[in-house]
Amino acid sequence: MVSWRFEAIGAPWEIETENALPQAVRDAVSDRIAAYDLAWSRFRADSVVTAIGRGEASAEDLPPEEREPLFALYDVLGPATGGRLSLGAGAALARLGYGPPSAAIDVGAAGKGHLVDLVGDVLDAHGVDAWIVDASGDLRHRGRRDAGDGDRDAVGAFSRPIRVALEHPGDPSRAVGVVELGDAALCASAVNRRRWIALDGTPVHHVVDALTGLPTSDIVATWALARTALVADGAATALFFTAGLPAALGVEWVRITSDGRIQRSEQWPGEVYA
Amino acid sequence: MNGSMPTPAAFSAPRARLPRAAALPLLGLTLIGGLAGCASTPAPAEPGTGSSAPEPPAAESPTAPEAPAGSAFADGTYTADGDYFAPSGPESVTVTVTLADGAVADVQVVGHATDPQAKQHQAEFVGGIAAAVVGKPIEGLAVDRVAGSSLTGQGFNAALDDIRAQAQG
Repeated sequence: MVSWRFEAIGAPWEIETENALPQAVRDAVSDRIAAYDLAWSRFRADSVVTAIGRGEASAEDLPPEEREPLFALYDVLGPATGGRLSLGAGAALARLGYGPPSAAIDVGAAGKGHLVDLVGDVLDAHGVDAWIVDASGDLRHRGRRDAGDGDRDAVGAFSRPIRVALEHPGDPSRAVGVVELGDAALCASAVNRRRWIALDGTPVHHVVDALTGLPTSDIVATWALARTALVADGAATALFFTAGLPAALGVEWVRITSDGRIQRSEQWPGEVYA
Repeated sequence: MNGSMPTPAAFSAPRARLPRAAALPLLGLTLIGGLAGCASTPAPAEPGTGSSAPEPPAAESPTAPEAPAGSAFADGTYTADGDYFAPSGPESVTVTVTLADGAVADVQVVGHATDPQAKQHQAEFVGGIAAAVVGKPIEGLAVDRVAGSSLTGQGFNAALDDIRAQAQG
């Protein structure tokens, strides 16, 4: 089991695998991240979304295999949050091709999680049997698919769920809970450290109410567990606005209110230390 | 608000300790078994996995020495620093792990935040909710990873990697 750490889209990443990844696989991961960043980064002058904002491109220019699942998720989370989570004013029109494409498309609520999934896809495509992709708050685990009744000690972490602490948003030495993660994704978000959001280059933790333009204030930290990091990341953001996530998303969650209460979904499969 | 934030490029300086040697045989394979053995609660079913519950943890540690390379870890106390990026620059944590019979007997985490603003920022937030949300020390929880927004978890996870390499070597 080896760990490969690098910086990408402004955040520390770590990929754990049973064996060292060949350079060709690392290159493929790097290329995948670079391609995603070039399409979706709001922080790059040469990205597609920046070009869309300038009226020089349309949503049609975004890679369909990326925009379709992203937009589909926003189509669910938008109504679920009463419109408070959205791609940005005008984005819906722009992607339908109506009017000048002046929308600033912002997928910060789910983009990093989505990229975690896509990196996992690269690993799968190269035959990497099991992996953990951890992109600083967005985490996905893939266990060995043949780890049934065989020698579990030989495959260790990848034959069983891993234990993940939910870091206290105000005290990194403490945890507010622990959950086991097996063939699933866990994404964390918090509004208390906006300075850290600039660090990782995305507004993942910079949760602003699209209706008021103001930062949210009722919820200070969220964690969402789902089958994909795309859904978990988007849900972690949506949880700042609502606890009423559509059941079809298959999300279990924990969140902390600004007055210090810990809430969780009924089927949350881990522990919380309320 | 974004306009006042530093650009991501401002934080792109290389980490002092990276890149690391690629091949770190991690303690994790056995360590995690040992860690799981510390769990006081039964493993809940993961949504969508359909996987069976983990095997009884007590049976794992004795079998660890016979596992392939990467699973043999010497008892002892190991210490490693892990780095993470704060907006003010690199920060670090020191993680000390004590292994006994191939399992984790103790974990200690010491932070080394040097940025006064970061400390103040944390203190302000702690003042808001810490009284109501206490949580538990991570060092006593025997976890494989930490998920949060502070990025400190990255340092914790990095230090664990280093310790695994030490214990295996």
